Amino acid sequence: MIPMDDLTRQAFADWTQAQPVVSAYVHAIVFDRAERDDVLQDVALAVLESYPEYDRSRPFLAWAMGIARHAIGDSLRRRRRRPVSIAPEAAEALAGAFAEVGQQERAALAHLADCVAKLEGRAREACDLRYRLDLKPARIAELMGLQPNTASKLLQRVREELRACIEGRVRAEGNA
Amino acid sequence: MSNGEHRASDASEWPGLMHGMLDGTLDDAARARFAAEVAADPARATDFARMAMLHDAIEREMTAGAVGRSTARRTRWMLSVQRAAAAVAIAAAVGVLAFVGLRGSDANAAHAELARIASMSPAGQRTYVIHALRDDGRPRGREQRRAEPPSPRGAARAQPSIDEATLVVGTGGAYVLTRTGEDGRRTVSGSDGRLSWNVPERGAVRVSRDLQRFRGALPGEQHDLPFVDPKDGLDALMRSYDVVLGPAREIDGHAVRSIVATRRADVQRGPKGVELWYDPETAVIRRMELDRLPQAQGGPRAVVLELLDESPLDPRQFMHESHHDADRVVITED
Repeated sequence: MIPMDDLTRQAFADWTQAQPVVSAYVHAIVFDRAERDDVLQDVALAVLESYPEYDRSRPFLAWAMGIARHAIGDSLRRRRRRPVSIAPEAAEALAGAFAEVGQQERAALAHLADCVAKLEGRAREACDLRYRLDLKPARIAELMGLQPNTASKLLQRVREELRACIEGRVRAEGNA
Repeated sequence: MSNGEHRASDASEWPGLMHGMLDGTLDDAARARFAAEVAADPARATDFARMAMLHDAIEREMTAGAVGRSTARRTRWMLSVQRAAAAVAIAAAVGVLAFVGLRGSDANAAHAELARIASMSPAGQRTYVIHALRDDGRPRGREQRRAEPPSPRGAARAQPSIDEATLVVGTGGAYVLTRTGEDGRRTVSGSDGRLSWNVPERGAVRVSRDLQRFRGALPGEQHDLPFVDPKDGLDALMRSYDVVLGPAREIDGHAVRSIVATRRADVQRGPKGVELWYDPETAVIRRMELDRLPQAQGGPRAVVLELLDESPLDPRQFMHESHHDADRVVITED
């Protein structure tokens, strides 16, 4: 039997590792940034409260994603928000996918800051409006004098460029 | 999903579904197609998971402000490419100004200008002098300050006034604010982007990893409209103010443009009006007026920041060690 203090400390350590992956999953399911933060808070509590039941022979992230998948619906209902936006089987498939690639992606994303710093011109502006100011593509299109579809495509291109930049750096790191 | 023709069609549609899901732009039918794809195809689910992690991480990166490793690294990177970036920025500025000129002084153009200012990082460091203004718009001066009753907070030991303070602004959230009290004692507070600090004339120097720790004295800071990095306050301006492009004019021989922001009626906090006068080519703010500041915590009714000087970045200036003797007691708060 592990003393409670150690268990709590271990729970926080595990959660700290898993949190970015769970956050990305919640964000993808609920869309809205503020809603993500509210739901993530409830998910964190659910994970920590269930931690004594966690079988330590299993990967923590997969277990936490399972808790998160159920906690999202509960949280949205409790907060009287709209229901989960995708079908349960899709949410389950995504939870599995996040658990599978989460930690590897998390390591790769250490290169993100350098890649974001390379963005210039309209890509930089679109990224700033979307992520720093949390504006939707339609509003970004208005501000940048674009068609909404063009703004969406620009954001898509920004993310793909960042993905390619990160992968390039991971490859270079592997070759070094 | 076993139909080959269907898969071929999905292949071209998939990126749009994936990115549309992240941006929240899919209608119900498209969202159902997205869900069917990820439920049926583990590779699609993995593809989306990776992109969603990037999406979430970009937001954290872009909203991290001046805090932490990534921004420090970005700052270093920015320094190394400032010359190249300046050329790109000037070209972008010309393009945006042409766009703004065509569209006139409407709110969208003002928002676009604010976004452009946010996306540009002026090179070097800027020194501003801060003036507190009287109700008639003239500087208060020491005599009026002496004649005023102490503020409701801190009547026993008033904080040095912001009036006639100097503010040096660097990159990555670095700043140095120097204030002089009525008793002539000087208080210097600031941050190098990693640590914040406060150096009183006497007593211990205090240092904290909490970058907000000593920012309370900065103009606008108590009203969610900080000025250390103009980008910090732009969110608040865009959310809570009606903004329009104002007139152009010259300040100290420099052609400047202006943005006038008026607090929306349903917003409680913040100055009632803000005027930014900025260099359209470099995005350097040459003058900023915060008008009709809330008076609940005392302080001036309005403040003006005027650019005194621009100079090459000197990172040491933003470290507390540069502002006190080596034998001073330094207390690290965390």
